[in-house]
Amino acid sequence: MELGRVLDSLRRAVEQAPDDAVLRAHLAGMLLDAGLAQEAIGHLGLLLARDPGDPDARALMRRAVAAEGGPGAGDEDGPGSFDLPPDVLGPGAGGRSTAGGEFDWGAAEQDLTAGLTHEPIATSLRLADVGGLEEVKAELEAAFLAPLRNPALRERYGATLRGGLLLYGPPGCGKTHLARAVAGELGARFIAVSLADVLSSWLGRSEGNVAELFAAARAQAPTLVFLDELDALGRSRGALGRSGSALRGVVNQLLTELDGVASRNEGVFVLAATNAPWDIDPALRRPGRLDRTLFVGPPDAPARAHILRTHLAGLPLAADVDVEALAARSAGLSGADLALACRAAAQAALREAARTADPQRSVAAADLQAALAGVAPSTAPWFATARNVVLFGDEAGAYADLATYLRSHRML
Amino acid sequence: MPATVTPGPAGGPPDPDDRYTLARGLVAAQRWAAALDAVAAGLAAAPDDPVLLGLQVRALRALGRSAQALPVAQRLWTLAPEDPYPCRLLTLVLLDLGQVDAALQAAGRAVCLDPQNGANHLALSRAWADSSRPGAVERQLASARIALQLDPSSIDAQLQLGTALAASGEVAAARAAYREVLRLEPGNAAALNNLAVLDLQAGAHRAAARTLAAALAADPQDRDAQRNLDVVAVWAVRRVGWVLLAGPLPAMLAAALGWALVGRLLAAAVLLGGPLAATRWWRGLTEGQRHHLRTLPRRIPPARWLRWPVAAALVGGAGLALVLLAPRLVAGPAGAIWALAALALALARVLAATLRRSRRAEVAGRWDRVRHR
Ligand SMILES: Nc1ncnc2c1ncn2[C@@H]1O[C@H](COP(=O)(O)OP(=O)(O)O)[C@@H](O)[C@H]1O
Ligand SMILES: [Mg+2]
Repeated sequence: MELGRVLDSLRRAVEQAPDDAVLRAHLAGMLLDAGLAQEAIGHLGLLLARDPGDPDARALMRRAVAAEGGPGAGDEDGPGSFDLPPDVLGPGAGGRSTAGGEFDWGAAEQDLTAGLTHEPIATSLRLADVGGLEEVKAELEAAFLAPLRNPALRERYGATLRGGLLLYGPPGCGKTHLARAVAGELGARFIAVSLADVLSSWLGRSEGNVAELFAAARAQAPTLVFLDELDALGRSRGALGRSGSALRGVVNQLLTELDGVASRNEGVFVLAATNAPWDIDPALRRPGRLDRTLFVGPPDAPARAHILRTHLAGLPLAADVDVEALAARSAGLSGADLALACRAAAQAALREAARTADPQRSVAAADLQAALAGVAPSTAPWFATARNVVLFGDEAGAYADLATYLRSHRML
Repeated sequence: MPATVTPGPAGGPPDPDDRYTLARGLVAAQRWAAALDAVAAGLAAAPDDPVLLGLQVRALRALGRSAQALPVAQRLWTLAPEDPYPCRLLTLVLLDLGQVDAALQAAGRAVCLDPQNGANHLALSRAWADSSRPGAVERQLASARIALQLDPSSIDAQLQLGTALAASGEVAAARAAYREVLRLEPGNAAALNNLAVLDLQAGAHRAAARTLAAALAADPQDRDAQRNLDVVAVWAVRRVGWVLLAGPLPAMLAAALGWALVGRLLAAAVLLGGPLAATRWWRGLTEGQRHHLRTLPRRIPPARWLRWPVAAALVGGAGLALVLLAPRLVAGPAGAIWALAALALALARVLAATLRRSRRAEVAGRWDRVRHR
């Protein structure tokens, strides 16, 4: 089977299922391997527009940009030689002040947001498609799904249901995935917003954007508002620095809206997710706002098997592939790591098939084992930080469930 | 169908800076990789856009890719040779790469272009901080002072002033500067870490440990604070060595004077009391400190800090055994041999510490580097 034909059929498949992120990422990866970086960048741009945090798409995008020889890529040769003209320390032009380190000149025509489109979240996903995380799923069901479906519950438990829920945990372990599944369950009553949405859809007026969003949520109530990557939207002042003053307004607007949600009780529910809860403005986590937290940790063995099965579905698998055994051997890997390994195995098998001109060659257990062995747990740096949070910064016990997890996994 | 609200820019005329919103916002939110992608997309259309190039330099630096940031900063500088901002950016990139002299030139040019902007003097002060030229310390301090005068509310300038004061040995003034940072921004991790470094240099290890814990609470990713906490841990282990070596001394003395029973009682007291005191000390530590001590071997090879306490424990243990088993020998040659061994060990320890201190002074604080921000 020849690579060009495979690419053609993949392209057609992506056209037919434009919402299938996994497929698109697969195509982008293969395009990259085939040296078609330019085309890959287009697909990756779409993926990143939908989920700017997607680590796979980001890794691929960096590879693609590097392959294109674009800026920020390539040469690791170290510093080039650099000489300022000899008059460097002589008297300069002087007096010209540039406020805030920004330029007042230079006009590029291109709108940065071109190519970034807003597509509705895929609908087909259900909570049952999310591997493991049973307690989190039960909590989501009780806090959002049941009350949103059942007005009587909202009426009787209104006070209990006040306040939003914050999912936190290492990257790639399914927070956004869970939210997508919730979206699949709720349909139109799910309103998602991510950093890219706030930044790009209401250009230069991010605060207005937040207000608009909550107004829409109220109009459609009962609704669930999902704030992804909340640490980016709602950074604490210290973490923001001065350059982040533009985002400060977003934080304040979020605070106002969350208080409105809490006091007016109009059937608007709030779910948020973050990798870095410690960077979030503490004001956002006060009672009545996002006051409940849930730890979304790396998948356990059954969940890993589930995730592997999801990502292996549709691939030509050899008979010797034992998903349970693979799951047992991949402790510590995140859902994203597993997805990456599956893609790598499929590419290895495809390359092998192309080399030997053997279309019958399928993805074998050995391919998967090698791919899994080649993936390092991407959650390690996150846990190093989390350990410091638990050890030094958690007098209030806000991260009790995280501490429990660290202890039970001998990371403390 | 689930909806994503996508309000259009209908609320008014679009901002002229619209094309930067995404990249700028991603930089502000510290989504560096995503910011690079956004910048790359923008630069594809406008390869010489200075705002985008500046954002690219910042994101690359934040990702630790200063070698790649250098050509970008240079291009920016050639595009706007009369603007101090590219000079400042270039200064920081060059400092990342250890090219101090070039950084000094770039920062000096920034100051010449706009002497009224504190940020330029701040860049110059940072460049002098990394320089080993004669007079660098004074110039670092002078520039930091000017930077703060021009921009009294600047936390960066205040922090740099503290660092410069510390470098010139004005410890009290440096402390005051760092405290001022903490007043302006409670929980500033760099200020806390730098205060702890001053504590460490003054030998106030306990205070340093507390301050470093606060720094890590403020910024759980603070590498400097974590490494400085290691310094405290190594210090604690070394102190334990002295206690082990000195513990049997009273008992040995009593035995040498012929008071065998008193010697034995004292030795028994050390044997029982020592572990008890050790347990109490351990329990008195915070969980974070205990964890840090437990995991120390993972970060620093035990050969570098465990040799001394182990040797001290062996010599101390031998002394106790002598007192308990053969107190009469203490006054004889066995006692003399022990005393010589203990003395030799203590001398070796002091000598090694002195040597290390002078070497440390030479390489300007590998262990106790003040964190620059
Ligand atoms: N529990 C899970 N079940 C199924 N897939 C998962 C799970 N966790 C992670 N994944 C996969 O990993 C990818 C990255 O997960 P994501 O939800 O984006 O992580 P996070 O938002 O926590 O950083 C998802 O697109 C999904 O394919
Ligand atoms: Mg996510």
